[in-house]
Amino acid sequence: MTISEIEAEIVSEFSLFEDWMDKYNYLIELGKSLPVIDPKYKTEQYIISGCQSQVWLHAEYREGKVVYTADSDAIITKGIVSLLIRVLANQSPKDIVEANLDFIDTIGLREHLSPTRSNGLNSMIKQMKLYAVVFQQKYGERS
Amino acid sequence: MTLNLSFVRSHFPALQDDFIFMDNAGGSQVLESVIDRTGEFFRHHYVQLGASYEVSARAGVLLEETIAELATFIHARNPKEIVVGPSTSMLLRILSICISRQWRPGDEVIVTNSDHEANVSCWTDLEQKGIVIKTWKINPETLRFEMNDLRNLLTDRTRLVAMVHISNILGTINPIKEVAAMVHQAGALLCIDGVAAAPHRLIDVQESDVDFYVFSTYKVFGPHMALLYGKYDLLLEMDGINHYFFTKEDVPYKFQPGHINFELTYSLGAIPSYFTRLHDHHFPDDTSNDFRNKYRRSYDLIAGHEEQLANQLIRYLETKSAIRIIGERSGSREVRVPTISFVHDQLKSSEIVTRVDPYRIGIRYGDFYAKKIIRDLGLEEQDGVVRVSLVHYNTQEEVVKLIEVLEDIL
Repeated sequence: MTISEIEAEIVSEFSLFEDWMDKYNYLIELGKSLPVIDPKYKTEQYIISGCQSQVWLHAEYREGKVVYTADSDAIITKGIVSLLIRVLANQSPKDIVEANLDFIDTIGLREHLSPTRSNGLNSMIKQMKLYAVVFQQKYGERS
Repeated sequence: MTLNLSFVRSHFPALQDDFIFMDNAGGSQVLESVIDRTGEFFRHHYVQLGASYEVSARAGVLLEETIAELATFIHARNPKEIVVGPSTSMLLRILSICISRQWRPGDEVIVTNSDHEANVSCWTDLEQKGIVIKTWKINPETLRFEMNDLRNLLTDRTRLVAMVHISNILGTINPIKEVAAMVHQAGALLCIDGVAAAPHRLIDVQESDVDFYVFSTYKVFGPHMALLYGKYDLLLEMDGINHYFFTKEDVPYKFQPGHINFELTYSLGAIPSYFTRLHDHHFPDDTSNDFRNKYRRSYDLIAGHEEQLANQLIRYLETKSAIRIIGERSGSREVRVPTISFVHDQLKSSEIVTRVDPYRIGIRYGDFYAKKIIRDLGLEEQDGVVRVSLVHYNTQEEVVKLIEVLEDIL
């Protein structure tokens, strides 16, 4: 599936929820399917700065695609990371760099974006794209 | 696997000093991450909730997220089952006012003589409305509750049983799941005061099947606040005490007049995360995504460490013929938490504690607002009990220090 197809799928899932209670329960469930980072990467180096909760993110380049793993010590945050990984994982660096991620606005996650310290979602997206940029430069001709 | 105490203590700024905190059942020390989150809210999100502008909308989301995390922490089915309030006493008072509107004169409530007054007065005051109050008393010999005694008190008019999960004097763990089954069979509800339990055992409201469960967050390494869990359907059917325009469907807002304290509620999100960090530090290879399992494993480590501390102190107290432990004489995690009370043959409890004070060890004497149990055990004249209440950040060295001091002064 392309990034925009996955985004559309998520938008459709979130449209089922009537209130925030359902939305959070769903995010908690999503967190359970997060591809968990290898414990050896759970170090300062892989912490995403700017998140109030601790979030670790790692990425690898495999056969033209970016494979992300992550973890967090906060339940909802983990669900949000999981959501981002679902959209961006196993896509080419080029597609990841170019992704608009409009679904964030559509499903009402915009409030997680903030110019302050708890700009968790913003930082996560930035870090995920940064990995893609690096892979694009390194393996550019194959992406 | 044992608890890494230096890792644990590094999370608590107050523990970097040499003062020994052993009045933790009164109030525990606070996590640095709780302080950080409180400050963060003040700095970046300190607005009234519910407005359409960006900062307000974002602050609302942060609080919703926090409540959802707390719901998972105690295993509530959904975040609406969490009512936030200033204290356990206040939340139980609100509950008693709201739920009793559905009751009629002659309906009955059972309280215990082992509870903190928070879960007693709010119910006994309903006698003014014609509610009949009965008291389930512990067996004065064993200091335990007998299920048969409860069975004899339950009638078809019993609406609610109010009970403490773990006594703040005895430290004994009461079988709330068993009690819930019996109470439900009689068609009544169970309201549990979990204040003395929450720092020591992972709360699981679904597993115990209690109807209401309350605890104070300032005893669980957080700020001075409290949370009430209630089964959603029960909360829904009650009238609230908020303004007239709030409807029955406004759960939990109808129970939160004047709204909640935003910054402190937000800070509570650091508590579940602390237990996650404890887990990840001790079990780095366990990469499952199950937070409840992480909390459980952390609490298991805590219970193991606390059991050692309790045994260490109880073994010493048992060697003193003048000392009588008020509670289980075992530190076993199956029967108690390390909230350990005792009295002395010749010395008043107040004398013992004031003699310990100069050694910079914080212990305490009194009835701890569990007045009925102190009265029923005949301990009022000696100023109640001496209570040493330990938590997982206490060390064996600290217990040794206390024992040395007690050895000097007794």
